[in-house]
Formats: sequence, C-alpha cells, structure tokens
Amino acid sequence: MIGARRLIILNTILLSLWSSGWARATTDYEIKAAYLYNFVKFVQWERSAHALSPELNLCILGRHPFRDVLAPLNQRKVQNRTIHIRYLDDERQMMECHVLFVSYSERKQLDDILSLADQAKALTVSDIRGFVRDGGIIGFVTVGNVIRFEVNLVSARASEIHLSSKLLELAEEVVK
Amino acid sequence: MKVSFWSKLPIRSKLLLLTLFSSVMGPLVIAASVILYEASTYRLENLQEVTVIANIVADRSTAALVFGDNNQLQENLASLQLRKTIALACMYDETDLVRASLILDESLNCPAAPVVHEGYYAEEYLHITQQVILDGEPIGKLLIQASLVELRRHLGNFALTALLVCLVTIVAILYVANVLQKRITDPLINLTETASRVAGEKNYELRAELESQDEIGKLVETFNDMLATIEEQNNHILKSNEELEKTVATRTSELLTANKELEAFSYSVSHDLRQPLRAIDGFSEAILEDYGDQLDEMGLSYLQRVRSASQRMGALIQSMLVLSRVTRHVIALKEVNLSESAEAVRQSLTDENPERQVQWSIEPGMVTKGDANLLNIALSNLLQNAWKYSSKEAQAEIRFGVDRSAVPPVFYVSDNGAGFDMKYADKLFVAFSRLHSPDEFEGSGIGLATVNRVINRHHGRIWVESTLNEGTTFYFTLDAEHNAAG
Amino acid sequence: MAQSVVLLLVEDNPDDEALAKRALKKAHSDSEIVVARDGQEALDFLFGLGKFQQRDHAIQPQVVFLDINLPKVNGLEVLKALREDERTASLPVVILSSSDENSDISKAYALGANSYINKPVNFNEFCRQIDIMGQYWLDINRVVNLQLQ
Repeated sequence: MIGARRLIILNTILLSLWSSGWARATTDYEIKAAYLYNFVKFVQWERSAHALSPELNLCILGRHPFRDVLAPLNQRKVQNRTIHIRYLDDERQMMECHVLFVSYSERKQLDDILSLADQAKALTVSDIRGFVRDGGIIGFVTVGNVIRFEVNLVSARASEIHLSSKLLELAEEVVK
Repeated sequence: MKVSFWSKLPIRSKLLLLTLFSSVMGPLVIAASVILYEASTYRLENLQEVTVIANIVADRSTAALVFGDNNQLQENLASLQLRKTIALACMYDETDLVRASLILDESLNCPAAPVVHEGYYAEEYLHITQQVILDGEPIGKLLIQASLVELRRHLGNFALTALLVCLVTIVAILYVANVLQKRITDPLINLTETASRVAGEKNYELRAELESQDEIGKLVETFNDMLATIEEQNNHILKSNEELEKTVATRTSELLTANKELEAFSYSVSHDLRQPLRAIDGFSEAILEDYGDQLDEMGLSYLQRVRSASQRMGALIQSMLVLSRVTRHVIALKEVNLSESAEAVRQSLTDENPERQVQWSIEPGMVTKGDANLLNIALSNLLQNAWKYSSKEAQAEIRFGVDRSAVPPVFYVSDNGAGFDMKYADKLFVAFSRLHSPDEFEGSGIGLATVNRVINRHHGRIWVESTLNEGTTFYFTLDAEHNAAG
Repeated sequence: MAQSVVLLLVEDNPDDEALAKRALKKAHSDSEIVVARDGQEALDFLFGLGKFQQRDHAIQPQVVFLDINLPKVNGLEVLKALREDERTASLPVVILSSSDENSDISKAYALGANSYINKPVNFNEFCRQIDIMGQYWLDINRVVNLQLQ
C-alpha cells in the first residue's frame, strides 16, 4: 500500500507539474512511467490468455530510460491483476507481455519487434517517432512542452486489444 | 338571536357556496398534495439525476484526470451546460486542486476544500461532491451545485396548471350547479312566492306548482294540502259569517219590529188606557157635581175612592210611559249642569208644597257630560224621592253633591227621612217593587227603576245606603263619555 | 154678539166628547159648541161641504179643539188642510190629545197648531185647562175676524 500511495503521489506531482508548465523539471520518463501505469487502466485484452491471466506483465524492451522509476509499480494491482515489471533482454521473451514498452534504442528493429508483438497480442507503447504509423499501438509525442500520445486503433484491433474511448479522447491522433 | 351573514343568504347562494366549496376543495387538496409529492419526488429525482450525471462526467473524466488533460476535463464539464439546473461544476484532482470548472452562476465559486457528500439541499442548491474513482482508486473529486430554479419553475408550472384546472372546474361546476340548483331552488322560490301571495292577497285558492318528487316536492304537496284545508275552513268561516250576518240582520229587524211594537204599545197605553180612566174620573166627578145631593155619605166616599184610584192608575201609566221613553230615547251627549237642574226641581217642589220646611244643600257647578232629558228625569226622581221620604221629618234635609276625588266622580243625593232596611236594597231598583205601602208614601215603584235605567244608559253605576228612620243616600256615577269614546 | 161665539170640538170618543163639552160648558156656558165625530166631518163643517152645505157660512168657530186620534181623516191631516186653506189658515187650533209624546207634539206645532193640551186623567185638572184655554183664545187673545172678510 505504501507503494501505491507513493505512486499516486508521484502521479499527482507529475500531473500538477504538467498543468503548471513545470514539466521540464520532472523527467520525461517519470511522466511516461505514470502514463504506462495509467494506460493499463483503460485497456482490455481480449485474447483469452492475456484476459484471464491474474498477472499483468509490463515489459520494457531495450535500454530503458526509466531506471528505478518503475519499481514502485511492481506488484501493484491494476484491474485486479498484479503488475510485474519485466526488463526483456530478447524480443522473443515478449510472448508473456501484456504491455511492451519499446525503448528508443530498439528503433532499428522496430518492424521485427512489432510483428512479434502482434503475435504476442501485447499493447505496444513507445516514444519512437512515427511509432504509431509504423504499426505500434500507443506512441508518445511531445506537443509544445507537454507529453501526449497517439493511438493506432488498427494495430490495437489486430492485437485484439480494446482501448477505452476515454483514452482515445485524449489521444493527439487516432489512426483508424 | 343574532342574524349571521349565512342565515341572511338566499338558499340559492347557500347551495352554490356549498357546491363550490366542496367541488373546489377536491381539486385544491389534490393539487396541493400533488405539488407536495412532486416537490419531494422532484428533489429525489433531481438528486438521482444529478448524481448520475456527476457519475457519468466523473467516469468520463478519469482518463483526462490521470493524463492531466485539462482541456478535456473542461470539455467534459462543459457538457453539463446542457443541463440547465447546473450552476457550478468543479473538477478537483487528488490534491483538491481545481483542474476544471464550469461557473454558470456568477455568484458561485469552487470551494477550496470540497467535502465528499452524496448530495444535500442547501441555500437554494443541490450540493453533490463525489470522488472520481479509477480502478478502485480515488483520483479526484467532482463538485456539482444544481440550482432549484428548475424545481421552482416546475412546481410553479404545476401550481399554475392546477389553478387553471381548478378555475375551469369551478366555471364548469358553476354552470352545472346553476342548472341543477334551479331544479332545487326554483320549486322553493315558487313555494315562497306562493306563500307570500297567499299571505298578502288572502287568496287561499292559490296553489304552489309541484315540480319534483323529492322532499321539496313533499313540502309543496303538504303546503298545498294545508292551503286546501285553510281554503275549506276559510270557506266554512265565510259561509258561517254570511249565515251569522243573515241571523244578525234577521235579529236586528226582529228587534226593530219589537221596538216598533213596544212603541206602538206605549202609545196605545198612553191613549187607550188613559182614555177610559179619564172617563171614569170625569163621570165620577159629574155624578158628584150633578147628583151629589142624592147620595149618602157612603156613596160619596165610594165615588171619591173611584176617582183617586183612577188618578193613581193615571200616574202609574204616566210613570210607565216615562220608563219606556227613557229606554227608547236616543242619547244626545252634551254638557249638563246638574246643579241648575236640581235647583229647578227644588223650585217646583217648593212651589207645589210651600208649607214644607226643608233644608236644601245643592253643590253649585256640578257639570257633566250626558243626555240632558234623561239626567233631568233621573235627578227629578231622586230629589222627589228624597222630598217624599223626608216629608214626615220636622227638620228635613236634602243634599245633592259630588265626590270629585273618585274616578269617575261619585254623585250623591241624601235625605234624613224614613230610610229602609238594607236587606231590601236589591229590590229597590226593580220596577213595581215598593218598600213602603201607599198609605205611608205615595209612589208608583217605577221611579227608581227609571233612574237606574238612565244611569245604566250613561254607563254609570247606582247604589244606595240607608238606615231605617235615619235617612237614605243614593250614590251614582256617570261615564257616558267613556262609552262615547269606546 | 154673545150668541155668535162658536167652538168646534172634534172628538170621536163619546165619553171624551161629553166630558169636553161639560168642561167647556162649565167655563163658557154662553158658547155654541159644534161637535164633529171625525176629521172629514170637521172639514165639511168648516168648508161648508157635505151635510153642512146649507149652513150659514158667515158663522165660523172662534177656536177649534182638535183630537189627534180620529177615524177617516186624523187630527193632524185636518190641521194641515186648515192651514192650507186661506179661509182657515189663521183659525186658532188647540190640540186635545191623549199623547204626551214629543214626536206628536212637535208634529202638531210644525203643522201650525196654536196650543197643545195633554188630556189629564183628573177631570178637575181637565176643566181647569179648558177654562184657561177658553179664556185665552176667546177673551184675551185677539184673532182675525173672519166674519168680516
């Protein structure tokens, strides 16, 4: 509970910073970590394996910039599932992943990763430019100095992932 | 008894008021209870509705809250504008920082520290503050204040509608009641008018029109029956009256005839009875004068007795004539000076019997209303009586006076003569009764009966007080004027 | 002159006639007394009619003693007839009546009677009254001398 509490505080800090235009003082990855956590709340995995699993594997692929920011999320319960943070060494490990954050470092193998992710039915998130157009599901973008995101509904549908309309409302752009 | 406003109202108005009251009360009570029910229901529904809306907005705003999209939050709140009653909506994050607000009522502001509440009504507003929950975690608060203007307007409209319905009902009821009431009141008014006419015209042939078979109908029937009875009795009375008048007329004519006959009888008595008496007396005298020398003492005495008997009978007839005349005489009222009348009688009595020594005492100025002729006859009789019965006194006294302290005044004629035993007093005023023998005092026995009749005809009273050998006092009153006035 | 005194007595009752005549004779023994038994006879005498057609018209009574209650033509009718005829209009008439009724008395005077006597029962009184009447109408009172006209 302490962890959860801390996350909420973090979340709150982040949000309050954004709104006051102090975004730069917090690192982008702190914000993105919070986003990741929050995305999960608006996502339904329709494939039975992911849907029924009591665990929610949040995988980070590549050199990740989050450092220990994600640690408090581990073991957190979201949608009655327990979050497990997994740092993948190999993209082939991603079959168990519910959420797959693709680090900027992996942009060269993006097509391979995305086709694998497609098989894994994972929610792909990345801050690689053009990620959504390339077939990723959620891609971070920076509008002015605010971090927003884009959504590719086609990819989501292909991965049998349902995104809440509330989330879509907030998306900077939705690819259909 | 105090006459209240209600009791003065005509029945028509009473019925109308009753109908109006009872018929308006219904819609009014229904309207009032519906308004009350509506008010409470509306509050409940309003609470539920706003709560639902708040839930929806809160739910919709979860993502915007967690992703810090204030524009989206603002947009979400803006959608509340559609709901006219919403006056204020504030979206707080978990730190109670206002992230978006919708202020539709300028006087309102987002409070600094919102307290979560399911909803309450205060200061003309419905207050709802609820948590925004995402995946079981509170992530912010949504405060909504909804004004009750809508409720007011709603209830106002409802009340207006109810009032209109009431008005329409009243008009409709008035119309119908007026029509129906006529059926009730018209027979009553008809009955009242008939009763008034009957009372005014005394026309018992009138009948109230029978218009219904209800209680009023029965009343009308009973009234008509009553009229029929009255009419019958009235006719009976009229008939009896007629018969009575006929009887009175017959009796009156009979009485007139009787009076005429009495008059004729009196006339006949005065002529036909006196004529033979004159003959008896006259021829007796002739015998005495022409053949007196041929008669002995006894014969002369007998003839003398014949003469005195016939003369007594003449006097008797004369008295009867006077009595009859007193009875028949038509009274003519005027001022009569009794003192002067008495004085005249005194004079004539003194002239006739100059040898008598009598002490007279006549009170002067005794004036009264009455018939001069009759009072003269009465007074003459009384004074002659006194004169006669005091004739054997050496010191005779005759007094005539009046006690004016009494009402009416009491006149008296007294003498100090023979007097009589009071036990015969009741016989005194009856014709032909005498208390003294002719040997003692001459008299017809009719004089006091005549006096009594004169006093009676003046509606007065006569009575006597007497002591044997000490004297007699006659008292009488006269009240002719009382009768004249009556 | 003395023989010319005529008194007319109108009286139907023989008793009264006898008594009146006796009373008149007592007081005025020198007078001629003419008797009429009813009203018609009295009028016949006065106006020279009927059985009196042949009588001397120059002779008229000085006084008429008239009873009221008479057969055929009553006393008041006789009086009326006398007063309506100019020859007898001023003839003294003394009513000798049994009636003391006011109505009779007033009727008699209204028709022109000169005196009214209610015949008393007492004969002496009657004689006295007749005497007074005779004295008055024959000796004291002056009347129009009818014989000269």
